[in-house]
Amino acid sequence: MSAVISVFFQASQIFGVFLIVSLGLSIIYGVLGVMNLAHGELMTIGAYATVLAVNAGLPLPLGILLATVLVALLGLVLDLAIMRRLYTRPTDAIVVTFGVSLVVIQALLLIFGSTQSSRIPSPGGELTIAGESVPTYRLLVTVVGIIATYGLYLAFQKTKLGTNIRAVSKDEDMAGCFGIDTRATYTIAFVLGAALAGLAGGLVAPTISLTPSLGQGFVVYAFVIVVVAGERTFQGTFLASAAYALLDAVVSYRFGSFYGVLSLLGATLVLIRILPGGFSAILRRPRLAAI
Amino acid sequence: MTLSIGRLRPSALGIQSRSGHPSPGGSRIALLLCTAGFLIFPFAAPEYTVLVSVSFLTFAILTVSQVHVWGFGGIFSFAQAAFYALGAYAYAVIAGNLDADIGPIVALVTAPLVVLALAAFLGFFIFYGRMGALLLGIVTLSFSLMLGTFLNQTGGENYHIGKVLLGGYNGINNVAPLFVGGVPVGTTTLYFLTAAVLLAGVAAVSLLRFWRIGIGIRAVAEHPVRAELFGYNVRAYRLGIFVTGAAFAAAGGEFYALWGSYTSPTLLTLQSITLPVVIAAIAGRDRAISAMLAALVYSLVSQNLASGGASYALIVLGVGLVVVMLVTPGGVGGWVTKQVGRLLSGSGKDAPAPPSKGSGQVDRVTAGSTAGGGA
Repeated sequence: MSAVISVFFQASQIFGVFLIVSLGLSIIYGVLGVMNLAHGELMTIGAYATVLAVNAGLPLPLGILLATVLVALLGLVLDLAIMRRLYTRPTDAIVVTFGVSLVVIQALLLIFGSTQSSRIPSPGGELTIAGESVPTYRLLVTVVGIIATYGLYLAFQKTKLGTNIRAVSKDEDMAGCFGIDTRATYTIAFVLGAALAGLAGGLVAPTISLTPSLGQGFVVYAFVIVVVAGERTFQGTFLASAAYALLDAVVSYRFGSFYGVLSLLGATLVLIRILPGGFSAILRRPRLAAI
Repeated sequence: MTLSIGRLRPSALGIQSRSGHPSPGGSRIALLLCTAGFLIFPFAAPEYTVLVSVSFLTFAILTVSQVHVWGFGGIFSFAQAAFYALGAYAYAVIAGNLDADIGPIVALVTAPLVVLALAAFLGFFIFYGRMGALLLGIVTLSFSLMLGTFLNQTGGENYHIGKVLLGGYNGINNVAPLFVGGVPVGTTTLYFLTAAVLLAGVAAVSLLRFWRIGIGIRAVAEHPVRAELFGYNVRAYRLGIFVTGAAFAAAGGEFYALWGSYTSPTLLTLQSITLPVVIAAIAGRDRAISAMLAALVYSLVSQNLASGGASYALIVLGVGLVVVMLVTPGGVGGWVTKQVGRLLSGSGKDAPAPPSKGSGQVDRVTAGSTAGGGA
């Protein structure tokens, strides 16, 4: 019993971070059709900014908020200066975001060195649930992940801006004919994706040691999750993150983290064969489609 | 809600053909010039330079395999670096498990075949699952990254294949050197072997398009649905391209392992995985000869930057990539072709000599002159 609970909490920790990172990547990919290879680096900047803010004396939540805003601004600059020329050239966008990622990693390496010794403590201590002690902070991360996803989902469904973004991603020309400023919408989508990367970076900052390539470790999984999520950004990403977090936790608990990675690779290969539409395809069945 | 992913047209991904294709005559002339250059180089340069250049050549093999799969075959794949690394590992493992006199030769021949079989396994799921173009890119990217993560975790005594330890993030050291007839292969021989494999690959990729089967491959790459309606077995064609590209990349990986006598998961960082795609995109993705030259120039530049001011090298490189792509959409190869074509049509029959900056522009010049500028 305790093993089940411990695996469950292990999974929920990973789930929260997977969810936020993949969602940011998925929004940029889904709306702009651009594969953002610098997404991990945006996350890394978020983590560094949070640690700097906390070390400067700010409380952690404020630090995370600041990091999110900072990375969102960075996303805005990136979009206005570079990305908006590349919306119609996805392959060139890959090269360019690759270049940006190179610059960011190397700049962080030059400024902060290869490892950051000043780690910030993860707040909240531990909770005891059914005899298992669970770090409170990591549960909080999961909760924040779910709230952020649900909030964004509601925003995409209920607000005018959200409707505009969906319209532009569906049919840019038609959306433009209805008077939607498609360029501005793309920019907003990119900034939103960047902000999510910053948020994810801020949230993981207290739990891992800082390295210039820390974001890449997460983005690896995020890419896979975007693949198996399919075309429904929110529901697909949610289900895929949950499934992969659970699979990783179960296999890692039973056989070690080595086989955890292997199982994700295997699951991806099998999934794309039997379920080409990804997790979104499950939701196509009429009764569930309402979700 | 749904966000459409299938919104992009194939042309937006560079799957459809671009104007200004290389011509058979131009490609042959450029190939001959390159061959001559490769033949002269080891006699003109000191041995150390020749040794260093072998690693450049292996990277050029990787980049050309990318052109084969992506630019020519229309498969937007990030798996080439993975097959390159797998080739290096396969060679090290096979050669390490056999006798020192015969093992390396056997490994040299069988390692690409092993990788070909692995690629066929992966490709079966991808192509027979009829995966979309952009999705394919992400799946192959994840595959490569996960392979890297996987190899990083193979440290310790437990992870070995036969006698060879996989070595985790240290990789496999002391890869068995190559012997031919009991004599160890020296720097110059290794150089010529690698250059021969590279040139054979470049010749195959750049001339295949003009052959009968190449026309089928182009049809499948440019419009899969239309090709299928004409009776082409699209899935088999794409699988064929994928596995041959994998085997060629694996051959490059072997020579990399031979060159440094080691192999490690650093071949599979995000940078290493995307680099061949990036170089192919810069050169103009369907130009094998341009891609080879771009890979060599890139290696040379990054080498010099690294020895100059190590820490700023990647920043300069990153900024360079961004600027190049913003200034020359569709790659430098196409841009140069266009400029030279404009120059040629402006100056009439007075065909100028190739630009003096080196043979880097040769194939673009010839392609431009025969394709009428390739607007």
